[in-house]
Amino acid sequence: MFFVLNLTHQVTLHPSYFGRSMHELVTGKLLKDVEGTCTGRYFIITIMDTVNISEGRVLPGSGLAEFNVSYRAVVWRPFKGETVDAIVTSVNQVGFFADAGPLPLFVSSHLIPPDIKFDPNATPPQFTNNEDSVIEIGTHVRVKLIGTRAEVGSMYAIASIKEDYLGCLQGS
Amino acid sequence: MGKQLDLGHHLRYPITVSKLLKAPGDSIKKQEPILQYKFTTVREVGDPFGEQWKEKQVTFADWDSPSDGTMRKWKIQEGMVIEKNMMFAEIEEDCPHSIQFAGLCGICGKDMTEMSWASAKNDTDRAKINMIHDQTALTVSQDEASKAEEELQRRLLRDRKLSLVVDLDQTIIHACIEPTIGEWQADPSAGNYEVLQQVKSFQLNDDGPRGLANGCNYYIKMRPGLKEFLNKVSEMYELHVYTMGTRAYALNIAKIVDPDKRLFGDRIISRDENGNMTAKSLARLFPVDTKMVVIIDDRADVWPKNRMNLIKVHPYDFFVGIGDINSTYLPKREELPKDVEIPKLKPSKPIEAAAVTSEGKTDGIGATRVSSKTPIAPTEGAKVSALEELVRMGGGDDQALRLEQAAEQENLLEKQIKERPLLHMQEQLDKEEDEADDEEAKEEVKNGETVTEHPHHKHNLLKDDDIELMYLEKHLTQIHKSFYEQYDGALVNAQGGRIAQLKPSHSRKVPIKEKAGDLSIVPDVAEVMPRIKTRTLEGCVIVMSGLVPLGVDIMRSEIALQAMSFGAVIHYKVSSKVTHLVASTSRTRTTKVKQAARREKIKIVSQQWLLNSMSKWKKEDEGPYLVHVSESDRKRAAGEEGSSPPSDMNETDDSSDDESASSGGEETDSIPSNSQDMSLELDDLAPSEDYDEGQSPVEQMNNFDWNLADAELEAFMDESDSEASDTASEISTNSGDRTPRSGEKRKYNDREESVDSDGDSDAESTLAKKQRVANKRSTGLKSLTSEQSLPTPGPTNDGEGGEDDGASKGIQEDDEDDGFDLERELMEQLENADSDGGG
Repeated sequence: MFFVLNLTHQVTLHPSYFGRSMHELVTGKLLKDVEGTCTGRYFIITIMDTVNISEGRVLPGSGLAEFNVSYRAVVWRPFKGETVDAIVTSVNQVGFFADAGPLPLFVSSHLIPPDIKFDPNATPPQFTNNEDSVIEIGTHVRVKLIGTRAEVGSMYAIASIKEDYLGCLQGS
Repeated sequence: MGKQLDLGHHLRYPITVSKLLKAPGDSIKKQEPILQYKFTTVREVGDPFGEQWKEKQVTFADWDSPSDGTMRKWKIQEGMVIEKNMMFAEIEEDCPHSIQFAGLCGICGKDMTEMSWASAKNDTDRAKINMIHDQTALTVSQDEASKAEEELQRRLLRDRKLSLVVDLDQTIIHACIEPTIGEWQADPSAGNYEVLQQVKSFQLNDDGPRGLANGCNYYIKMRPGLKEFLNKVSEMYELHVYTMGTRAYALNIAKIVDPDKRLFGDRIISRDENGNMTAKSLARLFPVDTKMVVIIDDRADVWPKNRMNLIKVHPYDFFVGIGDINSTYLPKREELPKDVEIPKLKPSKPIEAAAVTSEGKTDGIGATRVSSKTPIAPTEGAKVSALEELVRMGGGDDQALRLEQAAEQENLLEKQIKERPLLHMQEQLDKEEDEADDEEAKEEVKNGETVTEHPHHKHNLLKDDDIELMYLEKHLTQIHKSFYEQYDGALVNAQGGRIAQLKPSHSRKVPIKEKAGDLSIVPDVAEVMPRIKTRTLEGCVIVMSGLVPLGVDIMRSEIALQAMSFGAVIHYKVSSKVTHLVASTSRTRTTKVKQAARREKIKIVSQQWLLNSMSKWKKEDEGPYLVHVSESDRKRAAGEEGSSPPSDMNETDDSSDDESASSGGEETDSIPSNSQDMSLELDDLAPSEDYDEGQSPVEQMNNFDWNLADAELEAFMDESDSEASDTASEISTNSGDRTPRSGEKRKYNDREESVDSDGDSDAESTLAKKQRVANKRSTGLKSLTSEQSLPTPGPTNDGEGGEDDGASKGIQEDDEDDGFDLERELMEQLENADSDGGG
């Protein structure tokens, strides 16, 4: 689910950048540092704007200036039970892997409807029910997350397509 | 899917079950109490006045469920007293957690890394097997793995295929990053232009250790006939790629070899997913059953557990001297002395010839050696590899070692770019070519095939004359055929019984092949293949000479293991049973060659015979491989057969002489030590000594190869622990041996006897025997021999014993010949050494 959050971040700036356009530099550095990262609970998708940039404080010893920046960002936190769209990245006999944006997820064969079977002889290997559903690398699928786990800087999820309206997205 | 619960060791037994909180059929949650029990403890209790006494206390406690599920059965009742840990209940789990992805259960989506007070053990341990080619985060349980594998086997049986695991580097391709190749490729006037036209290239931008090598071009040469080979083989086998290169590298190669992913599909595993930097294992891909898997690889030593499934391929070495660019992580390749025809090169330029030799030797060791164009003494190589072996064994999965290896690889790659070994080699080749225009300069044999003289005006460094894949295809077809022959045979038998009687016509194919029947009757490739292979050299009894470095046990050397896998029997020594002596072409005057020359039955062949036979799986005709044995060896041998030696220099007493006569040519097959070789090598240093033949000893000395002798002496010295005693007696041995004398045969017999007469041929008893013989001699050195032949600790035991023995003999001879001065001197030295060792 997507949220707009007020967040803060500390940006340090090298003394060689001290000057007139310091605030732009700080904002730029913020974007570079923060956008697209994962905190372990959510992904920071994009920064909408900076609310406030504190006065710079020169750090003793290094001479770098430190700014406290508060900003608004769109974040995405995957929840258990959430339905997301994903692109298949790898298929094997145990199940298939897909990426829902920044989130790698795995759909095991237990969570695939029984009529969709693994076909190792096809090139590339695929899950198919020999009708309209063909899941191979690059296929767009709609899945439901049934479990997530966070590690420092990354998240993983287990998903299912064993429900109505899940699975291959036609015409996409 | 029932799971037994046990109480655990940590409870204070005996406990009394006071209440069962769940009835069979109830659902239970993790960490929910399912059982109440009580136990009594004795505790020290005190009051404010300082009195203390012991008191029995009854404590009640809950037992919490470690997992979700349904209660199925209690094995205990309320009121029961339990004395020790036991299985007390059976529950049906909701989820077996048999597929896990990055710590998540792939079936129920729960976090497996979570631990709580109730969990009995780590849930991640339930699925430990990593069997997916391109993922390391995904693990499965044993059950799941065997299920998947069974499915795979059934599918393969239905398609009548087998699995084939293919190595990349030097097996089906040869890779190189030398920039020279790009230049040659672009330049039609370059000598190697034509052959290089099929070389493909790509750039790699993975995060591997590169440094300077980053962004360089990889040049890939496919082994000749690869396309046809793979197409043909893929009809019988499902192909997997298993390489020690990085994943990006493997994918790029696969793109070149198999652009439409028809052959390998996604079945590619690289060192990134392997989980082990030094060895490959079939268990990574086929964790349960490797019955239907064949491997082709150019290195046997990286498959320590799967030798039986392996077809060793002759390494493809297109870019001469480059070797395997991904091999720095692997243990060093065991080198065979290359088949080089040194004398044919210009004798006026010995240094250059030596350089070529060293180039030939380097193919596994890589560019480090290529650049140093100095002849490398064989001992150095042996020492280096021994050291590296130790480092490797000590290292394990040491991080430091890993870094070191990464750095080494970087170095190697950089070196290739900077020093351009190929360019140098070609230049040198051109130079030689110019100098000797009409002389037919022979090139080293690279691919185990006899050299076909190229009609090129200019000699090119790079040649495309490899035909290994042709044989390989034949072998794979053969294995496939006999595997399914055996399977079909087993099917008929397994079918047997009633159905077969009722429907004899249908018994074979229809019912069982659809379901692929009972998998237990599937034959094992690891049995089928060796059966075919052993036919190759069946009946060959082989002795090797000059192929294995002195310090290495022949039986454990790569070439011997291989020869044995082809059905040959390896002996340490030349005897009447031996049928072939395989000699290194660079050293054709070893003792073993001379010994073998005496027996007409023994065919003395070059190692190419062995290699080609093993490559073709067919015993090659020995004719073209016969080694030229110098005339003097043969002649002397012939003469000695008839004449008996008149005198004995070694003062052996009569009893041992008789024994030697009675035990005749009967030699024990497997003497575990190489002490034999050591002592026999000593004789090598001695010139032949036949007065009877009318040949003057000086004449013999003339064609005696002093360089060889020196090299061997050096090797010998290096081998020994350089104790003072060793060195001293060493020298005396040589000086003693150089004095011409007769009775060599007696000496042999003498030594052989000492081994022959003890049947169990144990290293210790061999030594004991020698000691006994030595004791019979009347010298003042008895104490010395007994001292020295005590088993020295450590792996060098055998070798040491042999040396010491030879050395002490030398001393004895000297003391008889030269009088007492030397003896005294030696005694002093030895005593010093002994007291050193004692102190």
